[in-house]
Amino acid sequence: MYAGTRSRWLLAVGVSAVVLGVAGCGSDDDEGGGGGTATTGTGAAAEAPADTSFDQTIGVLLPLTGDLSPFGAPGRKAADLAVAQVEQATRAGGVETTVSTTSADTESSPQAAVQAARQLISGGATCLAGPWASSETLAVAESVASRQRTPIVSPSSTDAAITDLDDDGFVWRTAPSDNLQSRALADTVEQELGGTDFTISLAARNDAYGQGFIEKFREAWEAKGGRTTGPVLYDPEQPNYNSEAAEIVQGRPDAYVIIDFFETYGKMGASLVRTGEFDAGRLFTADGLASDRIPDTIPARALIGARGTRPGTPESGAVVEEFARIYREAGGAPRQTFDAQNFDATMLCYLAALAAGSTDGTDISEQLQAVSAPPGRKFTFMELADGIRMIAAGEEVDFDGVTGPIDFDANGDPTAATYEVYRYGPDGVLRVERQFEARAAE
Amino acid sequence: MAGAADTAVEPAPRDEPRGAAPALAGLSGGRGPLLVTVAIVAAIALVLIVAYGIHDVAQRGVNGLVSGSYFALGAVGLTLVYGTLRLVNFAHGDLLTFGAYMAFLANVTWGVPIVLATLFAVVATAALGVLSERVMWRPMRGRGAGMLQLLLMTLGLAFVIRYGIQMIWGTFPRRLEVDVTDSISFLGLRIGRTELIVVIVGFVVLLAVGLMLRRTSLGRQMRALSDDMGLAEVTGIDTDRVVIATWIFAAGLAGLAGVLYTAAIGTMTPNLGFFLLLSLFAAVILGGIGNAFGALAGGLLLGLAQEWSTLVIDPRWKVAVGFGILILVLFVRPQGLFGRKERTL
Amino acid sequence: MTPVFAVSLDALTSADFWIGVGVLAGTYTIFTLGLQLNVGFTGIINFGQAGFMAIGAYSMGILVVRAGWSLWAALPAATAIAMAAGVLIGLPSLRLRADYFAIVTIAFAEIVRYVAQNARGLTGGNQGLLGFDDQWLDVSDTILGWLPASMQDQFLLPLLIVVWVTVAILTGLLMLLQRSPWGRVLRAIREDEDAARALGKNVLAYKLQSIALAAALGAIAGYFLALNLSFLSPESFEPQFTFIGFTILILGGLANYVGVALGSLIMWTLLEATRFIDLPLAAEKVAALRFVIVGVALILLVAFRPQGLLGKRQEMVLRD
Repeated sequence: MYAGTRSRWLLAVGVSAVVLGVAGCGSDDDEGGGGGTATTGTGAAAEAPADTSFDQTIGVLLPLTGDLSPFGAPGRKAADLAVAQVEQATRAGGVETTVSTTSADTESSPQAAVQAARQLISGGATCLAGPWASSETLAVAESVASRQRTPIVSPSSTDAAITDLDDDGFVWRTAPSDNLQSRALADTVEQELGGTDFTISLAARNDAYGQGFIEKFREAWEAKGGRTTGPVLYDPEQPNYNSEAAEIVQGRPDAYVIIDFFETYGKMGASLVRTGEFDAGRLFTADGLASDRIPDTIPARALIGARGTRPGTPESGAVVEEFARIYREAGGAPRQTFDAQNFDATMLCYLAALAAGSTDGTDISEQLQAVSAPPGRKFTFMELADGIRMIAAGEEVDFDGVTGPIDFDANGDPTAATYEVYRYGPDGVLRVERQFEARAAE
Repeated sequence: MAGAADTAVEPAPRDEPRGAAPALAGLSGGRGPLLVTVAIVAAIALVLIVAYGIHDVAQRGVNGLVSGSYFALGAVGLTLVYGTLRLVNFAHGDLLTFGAYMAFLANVTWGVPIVLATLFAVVATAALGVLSERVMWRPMRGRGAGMLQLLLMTLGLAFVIRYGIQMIWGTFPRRLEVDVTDSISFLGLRIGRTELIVVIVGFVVLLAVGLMLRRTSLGRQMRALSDDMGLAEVTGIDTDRVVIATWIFAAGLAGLAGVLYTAAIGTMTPNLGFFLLLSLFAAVILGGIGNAFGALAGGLLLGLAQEWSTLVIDPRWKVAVGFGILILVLFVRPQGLFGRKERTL
Repeated sequence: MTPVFAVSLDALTSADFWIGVGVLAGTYTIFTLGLQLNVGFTGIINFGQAGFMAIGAYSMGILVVRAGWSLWAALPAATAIAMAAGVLIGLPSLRLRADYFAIVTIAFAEIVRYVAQNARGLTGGNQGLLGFDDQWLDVSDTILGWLPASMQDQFLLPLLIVVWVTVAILTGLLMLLQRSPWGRVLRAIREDEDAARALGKNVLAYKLQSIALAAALGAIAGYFLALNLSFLSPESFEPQFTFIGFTILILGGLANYVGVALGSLIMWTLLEATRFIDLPLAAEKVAALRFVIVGVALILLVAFRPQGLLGKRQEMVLRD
């Protein structure tokens, strides 16, 4: 998008920014070595054993107010859990780093997100977990991340447009692009139905996630030769969902694909059941409606029997359960979609800094792909102390998150995602039926 | 909708003396506007039936009735406060939210049955209304505050209520102990069981309020206040008592609307009332501000318009359709459908 | 219990923080200058300013991204479009009572936002609109090149400078306009519309001009919002922003153009500095507390200093 000269120029500004930032900021981050950081700014990756005695501040951008506010508190808790895990493991792993988080409210608005990101950075954060809404991520990517040389790792922005951003490698996400998951879902629907000669009724929440996903799904399904009706798009807050529900069930489709979050689906699901024609056994959905069990704000009949895809890991059984356990034992906010993605995002901010031996944003950015993707020894947060020891010793590693293998590609997207096909049983409990790997095309 | 332009042929209502306020309740504009409105709605319904079949039109009409009843319940309180106190209350939507969370507190946290919890919510919201009158609105009226000043204070109050609720209950969606999925089928039309209860309760309450305004001496006094507060005081009406009564009705109805809305739709978040507020304003103005009957009619029309529009265009436009109709109607009839003509700017 | 209230002041001493606040404050100063012209000087309650801002910003973005115009051609064209929208909405609705007019303008702004969200081919919908600011970034780089070396890392500085130069020019122009015969007629309309009409003034024409100018100011604020974010999406134009504009208006004082800038600076410093409140509470609750504070401040301000910081009591003539 921008001319090449501009990127180079910005890079120069970025490097000088690092020098000035360290020299000018004084009290807060006077860990010395400022000059050294600047010279390695564009240099090679850290091969030698890393500097393992830094204090890192990870900024956490959260939608604590506004439309997406139901995600804010669980996201905050997940980030804190990640830091608690890191603190435990650093002691066991023999490194002397300390990590803390500062968080800021993005108000579910791009403008406030940009402002919040700038403030976290001026408060000393050099890696940001968040923001959440795709619109926030696009704004922060363009006007903060690449200009202030600070990586952002969004837990939940799945908009395909984020892949193509000209972000100089500062924009990452632990949630796979809609491109990937929508195709994975189309494959799943084909297998489950035993073919594509079916008409699917499409519906989604009218935001970047729902609308982006359903459009990609429609392309994928129609490319397979299937038929679709809709999509019916509905807003998160509207006075009534009955007419939308009527349109979704109209014409007795063979299956439904609905992309939504629990927050809205509590209302839409109730309306769907009231039509008397809706059969959740023919519903396919995605990660937005995946939870260990159907939350009590959702009418059970709107989800029992429903199938869907969500990112998982090969050994996800144990990792997902362990995450669910520590999350539950910490008390406070209940589980919410994308909490685990924020856990992974926060953890990656730390692991990349450790691999870089530096808390400089550019250095962290350069290591994010290396620590998340092959080659290297695989480890999950359950073996975090071992992972930290390996990184500190300069070994190559491949961190697998709670949400999947992650394996960032050069665009900052998780390339390979292992997807789980899940189904809600009659008792309202989510069961994983099988897994498959999906890779980004080309 | 295109048919709205037909109101242009309708004879202009009598020119009221300058400065006359709209009376609360009652068909002050005569039966003309009502008949014309009903005729237009019927004509639109007929066209839709021809195009989309009677079943779909009737079913969407039922859906419109459901949202119309929340709109009407919420809007009547808004219009009462406006008519009596000249207060454009941007905090009214958040009174609905407050009511819903009070019901949640009683019903889920304390385990009180839903009917009692609803009563508790109505009382608590009415109390909040009275409190705001005592602490804010009465002192401000005493100082002769202007409309804009009061309006901005309501914006501040809206923030305090909405985010105060968020501070206590957080942002996670909450629900009440009611069945939201059960539905009743009648002549091939479906309505949720809770929705049906909501519609019935809504209409009974609105009818009672309408009768109260027309028949009781309190109602007459409220109307007198809305005409001219100074004059009402001179004629020996205990204005303070009437104002308090107005707040009890307005806020209590808002609380009820919040509970009924949540019960029918399924979940609540602290943004609930704020998102409904503009629709409530649209209902009030559509019917003619300060006119309780108008708010009822405006709410129903808005609900019908939004739901019927989903037959013709993509449903994601439906809220915008409501606002579009409001603007169209005002172009044709600047005082609202049932408002009296007043001095215009 | 030990002290539970703590505000970390480190960030408040950083230049980044103040530059960010400055850009926002400048943007909202321009936004609110339009409200001042309408509300403070003409006596019409325009609640649709966010809609005009959206029309300006999106027209600019669409002309550049979809139609391939130069940014410098798109800016005046988009301003003209916003002014036309102002006339279009004002023409029928200025006949309405003040309170109806307020609600109609909000409804209009909401319709604009729904169009921005749902007319995807044009506006990018929920996915937003990107890539309209290349030409601005070149200019920004050039300005940055003129600045002393110690400021080179502040990439927002050029935007800050341009915003506040614009604020100064617009405030000056509006003040001149207010002293002109045109401005005196506006004030006369605010004081007594019938008297102005009796003097043979075309009240509606004057009001339309007032609305159109306010729409242009809203559009200009929209450009700065867009350049600050490099991205346009419907969430940036919620009615909340008009409410913030009105708070700034009252804070600075009605019928005082200089007060707008002052009010905007105070408002955004308050809004942004309260982000640093640190309480042993769940994060969502602390976030909510920020807005409770804003609400309480607004109530107290209107109750105890309705003329704002720089307004005069005798200018508070807005009756119903």
